[in-house]
Amino acid sequence: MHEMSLALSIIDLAVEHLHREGGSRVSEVEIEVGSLAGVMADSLEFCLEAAARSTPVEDAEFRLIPVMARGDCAFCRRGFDVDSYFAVCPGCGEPGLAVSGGRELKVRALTIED
Amino acid sequence: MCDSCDCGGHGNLYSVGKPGAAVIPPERSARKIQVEADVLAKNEAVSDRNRAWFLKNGILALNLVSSPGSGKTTLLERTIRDLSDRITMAVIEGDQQTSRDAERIGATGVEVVQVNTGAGCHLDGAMVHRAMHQLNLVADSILFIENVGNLVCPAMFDLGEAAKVVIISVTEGEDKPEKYPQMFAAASLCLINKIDLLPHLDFDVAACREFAGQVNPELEFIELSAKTGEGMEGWYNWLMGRAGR
Repeated sequence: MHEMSLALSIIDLAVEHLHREGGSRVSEVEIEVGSLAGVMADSLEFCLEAAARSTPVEDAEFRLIPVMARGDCAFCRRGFDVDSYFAVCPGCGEPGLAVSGGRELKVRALTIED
Repeated sequence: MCDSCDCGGHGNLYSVGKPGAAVIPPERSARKIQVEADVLAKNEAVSDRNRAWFLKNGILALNLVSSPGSGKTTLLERTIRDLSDRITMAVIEGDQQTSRDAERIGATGVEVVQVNTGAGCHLDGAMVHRAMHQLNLVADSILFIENVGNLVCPAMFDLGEAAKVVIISVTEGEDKPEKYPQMFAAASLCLINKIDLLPHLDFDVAACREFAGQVNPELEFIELSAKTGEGMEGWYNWLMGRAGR
């Protein structure tokens, strides 16, 4: 359930930027979630709604944007999306891929209303 | 001049009409701002400060992570008793409730502070920072941070440690690394504990190491029993090596 503390951090970030920019409320929050970030999207959404209560982010829409990790096969040189630590190459079936990215958890953008 | 529609300004909307007449409210305008902010950045900033302080003072900080019941506290009790004449050690005990583990560790004579996370499932950098203030940490020592028993959440939260040590006991399934890859990917060392029980169990040590190696080819392994002492020398050598002794 680390999603609750992540949700609280996301709401804090949104409120901080709202105050810095000036505005009355946040109507949309875009969040990038890496495929290997260890975050359950459903659980995060549930926690965001709870964490936003009684804040200027309360009625915001939370858009979770999946960001896929990339696997590169050393044997057949194929590149593809990866969502597991145990992925094998879909081309030649080799395990042991070079995996990059997919660990991000970022607030990408906010929509602020005056 | 109005910025958005070149109409010459909306200011007069407010001045028309008699006093008391309805005023037309301005339209709500919304704007989108790019933030690009890492959600864990705050924790990482605090943890980086912890790490810098540990480095400056020659303190080897280790984040011990495992499922509940892997034998972390027993492992620490024995480690402290066996190494106390070679190096100074201190312990931060993380648990949701109770100070039972801190009392067990305190009985060995080292500095210990209990952090209760309440509903929280992991320690974070700020909790460790506060605990550091409560301990009398000395230079050239080891600080063991016993995280909350949980193989999921603590993987994401840096505490400022030099390394994560994941402990798995042979009474668990050998497929733990496959089920909880995040933790095994983040760790530097895997201790396989309670090997004195292997004759009575079906735990496949080679398979466990293979699963973990797939997630993290750099992961080191030490097989030991904190109860009988078998294999503990390998762990002590690893510790003293990391501590620069």
